[in-house]
Amino acid sequence: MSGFYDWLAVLADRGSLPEAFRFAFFARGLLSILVLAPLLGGMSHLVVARRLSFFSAALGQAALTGLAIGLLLGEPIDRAHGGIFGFCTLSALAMVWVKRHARLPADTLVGVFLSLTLGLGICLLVAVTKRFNVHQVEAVMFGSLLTVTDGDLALLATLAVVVAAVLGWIYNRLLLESLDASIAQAAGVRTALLEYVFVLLLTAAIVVSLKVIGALLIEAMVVVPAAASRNLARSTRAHLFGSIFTALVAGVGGLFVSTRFLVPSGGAVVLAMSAVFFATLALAALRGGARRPA
Amino acid sequence: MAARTRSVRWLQRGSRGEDGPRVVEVLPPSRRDETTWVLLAAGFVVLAVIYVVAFERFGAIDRAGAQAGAKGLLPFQVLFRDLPSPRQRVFRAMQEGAAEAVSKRAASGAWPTVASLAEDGIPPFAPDPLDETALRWELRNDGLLRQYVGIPAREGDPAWLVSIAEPEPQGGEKPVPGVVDEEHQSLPDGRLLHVTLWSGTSVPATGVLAEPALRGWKQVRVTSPFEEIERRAGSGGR
Amino acid sequence: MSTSPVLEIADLRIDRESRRVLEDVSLEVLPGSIHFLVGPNGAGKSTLLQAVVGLVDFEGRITLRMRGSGRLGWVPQSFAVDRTLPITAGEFLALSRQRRPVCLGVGRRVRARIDSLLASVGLDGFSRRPVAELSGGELQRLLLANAIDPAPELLLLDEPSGGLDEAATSRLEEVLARLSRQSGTAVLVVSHDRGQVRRLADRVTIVDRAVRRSGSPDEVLGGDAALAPEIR
Repeated sequence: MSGFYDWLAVLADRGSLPEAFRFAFFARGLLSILVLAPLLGGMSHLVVARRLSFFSAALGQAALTGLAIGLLLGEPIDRAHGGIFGFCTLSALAMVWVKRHARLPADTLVGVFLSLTLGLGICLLVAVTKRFNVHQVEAVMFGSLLTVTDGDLALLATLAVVVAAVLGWIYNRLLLESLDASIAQAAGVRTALLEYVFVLLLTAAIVVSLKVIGALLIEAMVVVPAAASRNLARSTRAHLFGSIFTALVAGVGGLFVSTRFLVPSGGAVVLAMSAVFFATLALAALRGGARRPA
Repeated sequence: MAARTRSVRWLQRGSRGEDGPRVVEVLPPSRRDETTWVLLAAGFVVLAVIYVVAFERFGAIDRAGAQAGAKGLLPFQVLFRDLPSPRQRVFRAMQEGAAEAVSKRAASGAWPTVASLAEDGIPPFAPDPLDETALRWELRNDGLLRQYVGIPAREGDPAWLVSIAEPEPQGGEKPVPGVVDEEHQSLPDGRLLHVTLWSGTSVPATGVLAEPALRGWKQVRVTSPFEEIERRAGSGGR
Repeated sequence: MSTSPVLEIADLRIDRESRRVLEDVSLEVLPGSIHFLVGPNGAGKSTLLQAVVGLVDFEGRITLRMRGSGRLGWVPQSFAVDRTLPITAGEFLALSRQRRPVCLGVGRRVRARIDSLLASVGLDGFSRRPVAELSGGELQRLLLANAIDPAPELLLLDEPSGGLDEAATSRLEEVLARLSRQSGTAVLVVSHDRGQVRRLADRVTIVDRAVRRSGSPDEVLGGDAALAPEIR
């Protein structure tokens, strides 16, 4: 990969590419966004259809706790995959099980889990910062292109392919179950299994995105693209492609802003995404006004 | 028409009755079955985590020392021992100079100028006839950031940077018991300075270089964060 | 007509929130017949249908005897969908009629089939209409369309006439009659509409937390106002 980055740097020196391409971290960040945007943007419309927005926020918080657990178990701070994946997956399984069997509303239950993971994470982080430079932990909270390695890129690409393949296979059944579980059940869909599978796919997608977007902002990445697209879309196909387009535009734009103004990449991307949302909201309002009879 | 097999969870696969129809029994949703599967999945996850952590911690021992030492380095960090010899000399000089500057800051409350450090013969600020790098040093300030910038005379030679972040006037980062690392040095009142050493190419004409990593600079460390933690753990966390 | 029932329910008991909703309910639905469940609100009729679909916990036995496709059609009383979700009527029907993810489009042959299906329930040209823009009655017809193609062996409908005007109700009854007579579909309907019961039913069962009476429409409904005050 270093040869590829050197080639981009040469093009940047010649002026064929923006100056930011002189740095390998920018190229890695851009490649990450080009994979993340279709992955998270694509899943976004399903997350919103299944009302898992708050759930995604809880998973982001769980990632911080998972990082602390991984560090305490002796994992390196830049590759605490065991702790993060493990704790997030266990949290996801527990949240879905409780949601399916408890009598409280789903958002209340997710709020309880969010509080639990946050409290646990804060306590563990105090122990962790006795051993680590806390600034590196901040990178996980807010995202930092500087921490993305070629190994992270490979993991991201591999997981994106796996998630896309599985989602493609179960998509129709999943969307039907999202619309009405009883109709899906009658049609022979294994509704419980689908619910768990989707949540596990979402967990995996969120975890591999943390280094670029950050744990505190990951929820925005799986909610705002679909919300922005929904303002204008009138079909599922338009909804999906609108979500991906929003994520791509905001992702790439946010990346350039991040490196230009030296702000965390996650924050810049999310702000760009929010700008797209309000733009589509305004367009939808104008379209709605144009359609009303005089 | 042959009956289609249905893979619905709530239908138990039935047998053909004597008069031909496929008999299936509708079963209610089973919480016990679901719980069993979830617990099995959770157990698998725990086993996977144990394997991954064990591989990361103990699998690395078999690899070459340089690889093990590099564990925990972020992409913008390099180890001192991986630098070529001339750059190692500059780095050593910068370590000494940074330590002296911090000491004078602790004593007087003000950061020493390059001229005063050179006058005291402190490397790398003091001229050295054997030094081929011919670096010109400047002290630059912006808010809580102080930077000693070494600008090479020859184009293409690496530039160097000692970047120090002062603590907030009110409060500031206090040392946490057990945390002693090469990026944190204490002031007499217990607050911490954040000190990092960098090597790079592009130096702004004026002003500090905020976020050097985003400008392609490399932070030079003596040990990787992983090695540092192992060393601290081995010495009882002192 | 075969005499073995498509659906056989024996000694069904359902509890909800520590309250007995259904007690020792037994009934049979024969192939090609239209069987109505009637009773007061809160009698457990909808819960009974949900048990057949496998949605609620129950004790007792529910058995299906499938001779053909084994397909179960289900038209719920309400469609618990986020009405702001941008899915079209055609995409909704395509979810269970094509393998390709509908987010990548609906196949041409499937689209032709869907257009024909929508026309059969009085929703001509609705394929590209967002579900969010459908009225209650149109939504009910969309759910019916989803349930009847391919022709199911057992069709369950929970108050399908709610929200339908006279013309739509008439069309619904035509569809049910055609399915039962031509395709041999066993139909189990929850309804409050006495006129509909008289027009369509082969068999009627009055349910009020238990089976109160079961038989032909004349046997069950004829003359006994005390037993059927809840039916209009």
